[in-house]
Parts: sequence; C-alpha cells; structure tokens
Amino acid sequence: MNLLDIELVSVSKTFANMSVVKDINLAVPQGEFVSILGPSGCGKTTTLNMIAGFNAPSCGDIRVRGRSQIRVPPERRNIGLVFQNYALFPHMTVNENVAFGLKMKGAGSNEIALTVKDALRSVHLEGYGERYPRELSGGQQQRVALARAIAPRPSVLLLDEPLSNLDLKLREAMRIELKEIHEQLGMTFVYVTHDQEEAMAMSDRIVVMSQGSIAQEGTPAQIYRDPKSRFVADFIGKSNILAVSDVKPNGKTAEIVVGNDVRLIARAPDDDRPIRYCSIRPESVSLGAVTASGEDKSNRINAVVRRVINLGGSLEVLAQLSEELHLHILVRSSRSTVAPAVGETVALGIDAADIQTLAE
Amino acid sequence: MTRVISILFWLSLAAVLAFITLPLLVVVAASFSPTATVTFQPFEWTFRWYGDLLSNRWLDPFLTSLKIATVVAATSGVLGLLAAYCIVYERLPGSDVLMSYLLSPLSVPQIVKGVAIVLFLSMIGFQGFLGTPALIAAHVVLALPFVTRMVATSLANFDANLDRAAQILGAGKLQRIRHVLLPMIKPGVLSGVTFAFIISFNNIPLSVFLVRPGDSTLPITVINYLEYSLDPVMAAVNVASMAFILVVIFLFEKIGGFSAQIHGGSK
Amino acid sequence: MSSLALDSSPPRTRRRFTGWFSYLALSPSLVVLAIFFALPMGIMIGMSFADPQTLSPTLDNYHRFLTDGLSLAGFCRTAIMSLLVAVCVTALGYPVAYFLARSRTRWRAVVFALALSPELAGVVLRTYGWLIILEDRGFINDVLLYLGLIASPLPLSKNLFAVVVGLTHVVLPFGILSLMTSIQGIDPNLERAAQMLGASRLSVIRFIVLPLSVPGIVSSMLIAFTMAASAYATPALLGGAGFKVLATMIYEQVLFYINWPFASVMAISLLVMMLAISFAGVRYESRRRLRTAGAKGDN
Repeated sequence: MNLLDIELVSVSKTFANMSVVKDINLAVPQGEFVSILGPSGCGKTTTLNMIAGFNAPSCGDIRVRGRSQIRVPPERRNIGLVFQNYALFPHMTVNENVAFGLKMKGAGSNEIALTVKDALRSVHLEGYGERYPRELSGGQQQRVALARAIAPRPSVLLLDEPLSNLDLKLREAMRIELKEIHEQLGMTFVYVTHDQEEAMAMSDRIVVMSQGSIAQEGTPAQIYRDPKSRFVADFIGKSNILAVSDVKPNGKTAEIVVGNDVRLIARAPDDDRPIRYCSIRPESVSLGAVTASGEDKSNRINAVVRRVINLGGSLEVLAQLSEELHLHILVRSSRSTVAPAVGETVALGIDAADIQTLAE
Repeated sequence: MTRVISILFWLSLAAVLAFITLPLLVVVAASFSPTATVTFQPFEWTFRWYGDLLSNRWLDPFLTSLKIATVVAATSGVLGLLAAYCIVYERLPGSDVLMSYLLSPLSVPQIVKGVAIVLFLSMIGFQGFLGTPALIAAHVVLALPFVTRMVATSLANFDANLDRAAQILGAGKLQRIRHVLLPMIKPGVLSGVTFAFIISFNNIPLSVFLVRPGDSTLPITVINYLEYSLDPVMAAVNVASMAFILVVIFLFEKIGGFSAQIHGGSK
Repeated sequence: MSSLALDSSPPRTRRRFTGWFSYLALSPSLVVLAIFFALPMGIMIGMSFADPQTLSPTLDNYHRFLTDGLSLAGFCRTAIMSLLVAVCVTALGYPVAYFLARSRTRWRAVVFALALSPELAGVVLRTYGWLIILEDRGFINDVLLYLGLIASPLPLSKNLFAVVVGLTHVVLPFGILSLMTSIQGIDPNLERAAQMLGASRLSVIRFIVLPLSVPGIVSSMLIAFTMAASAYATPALLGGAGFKVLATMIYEQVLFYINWPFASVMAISLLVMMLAISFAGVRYESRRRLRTAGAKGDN
C-alpha cells in the first residue's frame, strides 16, 4: 500500500455564488508526478491554491500525508510552490532567494549554505548565487524559482504553469530537466498546466479538468488512447469527433453509422451508456487500405482528397467521406511518399480499435 | 515648407526652455552681484551675501523650517505608511470610502485649508498654538494625503505572488512584512517622505496664516522681506535653500529612493 | 490569469485580529484629518453664515460678496487669470511635451531636466527671479532703456501680465508632464501612417496628434487652472496691491480686517470655483471613457 501524499476529499469551492470547483476527489501517492490539465477557467489553479492554502475550500477536506490541512495556514503546510511568473524576490540575490525558506524555518547558517548550494547544483545554476533575479534570463529565473521551492525539502511540490512564460525550445528542454529533477528528488509533484503536450511528456498520471470537475484521470497513454468524453478527446491531441446516428453492438466490436450513411466498425463501448459520438485520431487513419505490415484494416472507405498541407515530416490531408463528413488525416511523409492530389479519390483504412465510441 | 516648420518648432522649444531657466539664472547671478539689479553690463563678483546668511536673521527661520519639515516628513511618513498598508494591503471593508476621506484634503486649496485651520485654532482659543505646533499640524494635513497616495500606489504595484511565495516558504505575517513587503515598497515610501519634507520646507499658503513673530519659517520670512526690498541677500537665501533641497533629495536617493526602483524579476 | 481566483486566506480568527489591528493603525491618520481638516472646514462653513460682530446666523456675508462689487471683481479676476495661465501653460508646454514624448536622442534627458528643474527651486525663488526681471528698474526695462527703445520703464510688474508670467512659470512643468504622458500614449505608427498617405509634418500634427492629445490638453488646462487659482505667493509678490486675486484678498480679510466670516465666504467661493472645475474635468473624463469604450465595443 502506497502512502498518499495528497488527498482531496469531495472538495468544492464557490466564489460569490460561482461554483469554481465541484466535488473533486483526488489521491496522489508519494513520489508521483501528477498533472492537472485543463483549459483556462476549468478550476485547476483554484484547486492548486486550495492545496497550497491560499484558498479555503467551501466544503470537503484536503489532507497531506493523512493530516487535514484545512486549519493550517500556508506558511505551515510544508508545501513548495513554483509560480507562473516565478515570483522571485527582486531585492534579494539568488542565494538569498533560495535560502529564504530555510531561514524562515530557522535553519543554521551552515546548513543553509550547504542546502542552497545543493539546490542550485540540481538546477544547474552553480556560480549564479550572487546575482540578482533581474540579471538572469527567463529560463534561469525559472530554475531559481524551482531551487527556491525545493530547498526547504517540502513534502509536495506544486507547479503552476511554470513553463508558460518560456519560449518553445527552452520549454521543451525544461520538460526533460523537470522530469529528471523529479526522479532525482523522489518528491511528489503536482503540475498544473493547460498545455497537453507538457502534461503528456512529464506526468505519471494526468487529471483532466473541465468546468470545475475531473473529466478523466489516468496515465498519459490511457488518456490519449481511451478518452472517455468528447471534451477529453478534443482537448488531448487532435481528434476527428463524429456524431453517431446508429449503433449495432456485435460482441467485441460495434457497427456504427456516422454522417448519414457511412458505416464503420468500432471498438465496442466499455459501458452501457448510449453512444453519441466517436473519435478518430488523425494519425490512426491510413491512406490506402493496406498497412505496412500487410494486414487488412477493419474499415475501408473511399474518400475524396480536398486539401493537402505539407508539414514537413508529415502530411495533413482533409478527406471528404460523404457530403458533410470530413476527416483530418495525418500521414508520415518521407522522400518516397507520393502526396495525394486534391480531387483524387483515395481508399482510407481505419482499425476498429482506433475508433473510440463516446457517450458524451 | 517642412524646413520652415521644423525651424519654427526648434525655435519655440528653445524659447520655452529659455523662459523656464531665465528666472533661475537671474537669481543665481543676482546672488553674486553687489546690487539687486541684474544688468548685462559687467558686474563685480561678490560672496558677501552668502556670508550674511549665517546671521540669526536667516539662520533661525531656516532651523525652524528644518525642524518642522523633519517632524512633518517623519509623521506623515509613518501615518501614511500605516494608512495605505491597512487600506490597500489588508483590504479593510469600506476601504474606498476611507481612501477618499484620506485623500479629500487634496481637493481643497491650501489657502482655504489655512483659513480653516487658523479660524479653528482661534475659535477654540488655542492662539498660543500658533507657530511651530500649528505649522506642524497643518503641514501634516497637507502632506499626509500625498504620502498615503504614493505608498498606496507602490502597494498596489506590489506583486501579491511575492507575498504568497514567502508564505508558502514558511514566512509568517510579520516576517513577510519585514523581509518582503517593506523592502519592496521602500522606494515609494522614501519618495513620499522626501516629497513631504519638500512641500513642508517650501510651504507658503498654509504657513502664511500660522507663523508667529519670532517663530517663522524661511519662505515666509523671505516673502515678508521681499514685499519691501529686493535686497540681493534674498537671492543668496533662495539659492542656498534650493541647494539645501537638492542635498536632501540626494540623501534620500542615497538611502534607496526613487531611482533604486527595483525593475524586472517578478514581471 | 492564474491568480484571478484568490480570496482571503484562512484561518478566520487571525483575520479578525488583523482587521482589528488595521483599524487601530489607521486611526491616527483618520483622527489627525478629522481634527485639523474636517472639523476646521466645518467651522469655516459655519462661520460663513455668522454675523461679523455678533456671530448670529445671517446670509449677509454672501449678500455682501455678491453685491459689494470688489469681491465679485476679485472672483472674476482670479478666474480670468487662471484661464490665461491654463492657455499659456498648454501652448508653451506642447512643443516641449511633444519633443519629450517623441525624441530618442541624448537631448531628451537634458530637456527633461531643464523643463522640470524649476520644481526643485520652490515658488519664492522663481517669483523673486521674475521680480528682478520685470521690475520697473528690472532686467527687461534696463535692457530696453539701454538700447533706447523706450524712454521710461514699461509697467511690467504689479499687474495681470506679471502674475500670468509668474504663474505660467510655476505651473509649466506640471502641464508639460501631463501633455507628455498623453502624447506618449499615441501610437507613433499613426503619424507614420499619415505621412505615408501624403500628409505633411504640419498636417500630421494638425489632424493626428492634436486631436488625439485632446485629453492631455484638457488635463493640462485643468491642472494649470486649479494651481493658478489657488496660488498665493506669486500673485502676492508679482501682483501686489495692483492686482488682487481671491487668495490674496482672503489673506487680507484674515490678517488686516480680521473679518473671519467674510474671509470664510471668500474661501468658500474659491473652493466652489475649484470644485466646479474639477467636476467638469471628471465629467469630461468619464464621458470620454464611455465614448472610447463604446467605440471598442462596436468593432
């Protein structure tokens, strides 16, 4: 049995009659990297602020290592927080910033010096201790913020969209580094973001939030492959969401009708709820009915190519199946790939397993 | 055509700048001249007037002004800091009303405030209060709204995330105020205090009602004197008092005022 | 965005304590202003309705103010003088403000320092400077006499002209700052766009910069007007007995005639003038806000 670092038990938050977080339950085991993912306004930051202690939940309980935190002010929760805008103290040097938490805990100066050094080493900023935050680049400031948060060895580290102010290249590098620091420290990370790629790249588990509730939680692969709702399918990665007009269950598969008259063999639904949509990932559709390994796809459909966009490593094709039914298709392209011509009729192949049926 | 316009523009700019600097230059020149008239005929340099400054006639009002301005700057600094902190940072209920009350003296001309205060003092039979005590009270009323507004502005610009960052790192309220909030708003507080010092030191419209013979401020002594004579010693007094103000600004700046505003970091 | 939804932090009991402490810390300011500002203002307003001899309630003071001729003349002189100062400040300040808002050269810092330097000098020094310059035996008359352009000194001081010159000088830095802020708010690309469409320098100023800086012009006029109307030292020294304004007349009533009730009425008339002007400014500003907000909504 894994120890739980954070538990949210039926937590709700209401601001001036606006229900921002609705009855959230969440358990984070020690050492896990959890991402809370959702569009802005979904309640993820409020949730984070409640864990940190800046907001009190309207009802429900928040526990850290089994102890209720409701009556504990933020300064005594022993939680680390990395802010979106870094919130470095501009009047203190890097060393003073990182030492702040230890100083507040009343640590001795030797211990402080050692820990600060360690923390700066783990974010690769040795030798920057005497500088002021304004003398550092955005990426370096971000690392200082991280070092400052981990230096007092909190039980949990909360990260509030920490990479959103960095440019793309740096963001991608920092993802890897954050993951490494997480492994190195073995600390529980709760990472709030609206960037699904970031969540996919780093997390052990993703909690997708929508309109104040948890829409789905699971490993990145589960979330991507088996979205349980139209919202998750649409928000995580790109997806073709088609309205389903008729369903005939058939053991492990089901025959569904999309558009007016296009019939597809899909994976059978997990539960008995009525099926209203299906989701097809653009990259799971192949141009030509036969895969590289020679297997037959469960579905072969003819479609007319309406638009082809060359993205360099891949082609994005818009194919028309019937009058109002279009599919976005992503195919890898190499030197030998012959791009389909606009207006050409092509055969599409889709595996039944790649068609996810959705109830909502 | 374009050339003509641009020449006209530069000429007007130069003329306005000349207009701005002319009286200052004239006073400086007069302070070194043997007579109060400034002519463009060559004159002999003299430092006589500056020597005269050390007489009690000028030294006493200077010390009075200095004493009053120091007390006013300190008092309105402390009161303004507390008031702005409570209203902006603690977000007291009714803070809008409280703030408009604290800033309301700004919309009343100084001369009107002066009449009201001197009237009030004589009504309650406190004429003995005139001179330094009354001047201090009146100048605090004048300076306090300015200081409160300046501190409130820097508190409003204070990034609340810095406070939260300190809190999550284990800092209690007093520690946060001491280590984070006060250092961050220090420039705003210091410019407020400097401003309070200067408006008290240079004040005329309020002081004119409240001074007492033998207990008068420097500017009031100067204008009373100016009504009778343009003695060049006045020029020396004025130049010296401006130099003094510059020194004060320089000192406050040194302790970490205005230009030490901390940029970046928490954008 | 991320910190939008933050309310008061728990726990409740500590909040209540800090609330208590806050009112305690706030009270000295509130009390000082109550005793030395609110109460005196109330007494002054009450005094304006009192008979100068018996202190019994009466409207005579207001009646006298409106009918004795001298007082209303002083009121109008003050208004006219303030208006002239407002116009001069804005007209003289505009080229400087435009330069400060647009220049990217080293000269900008120099002009900025020169334009604001008088603020450090204090009113007395500057007024003294103008006295030396404008006096009958002053700098200008001296030069003109020397050059033989005039036979006897021109009357340059102790009149409206001298007061307007002196006050314009006092208020100019504030006017320049408010105009500069307004011009800085105009996107320089608008001027470039107009030039690309064939507008000359003059047309750019006339059709683009001036209309867009109207708010700055209004606020510069307002600042100048209110500062001029409430100034005391400059009109006292440069106007003297020859040109009395409300501020100097109030001073006379208090210290020479010792007529508190009538001094109060005059002070109130000055206050009313100021409040009316400020109110007009606030009205203008809120209307402008509404208009621009509406224009944005239409897009």
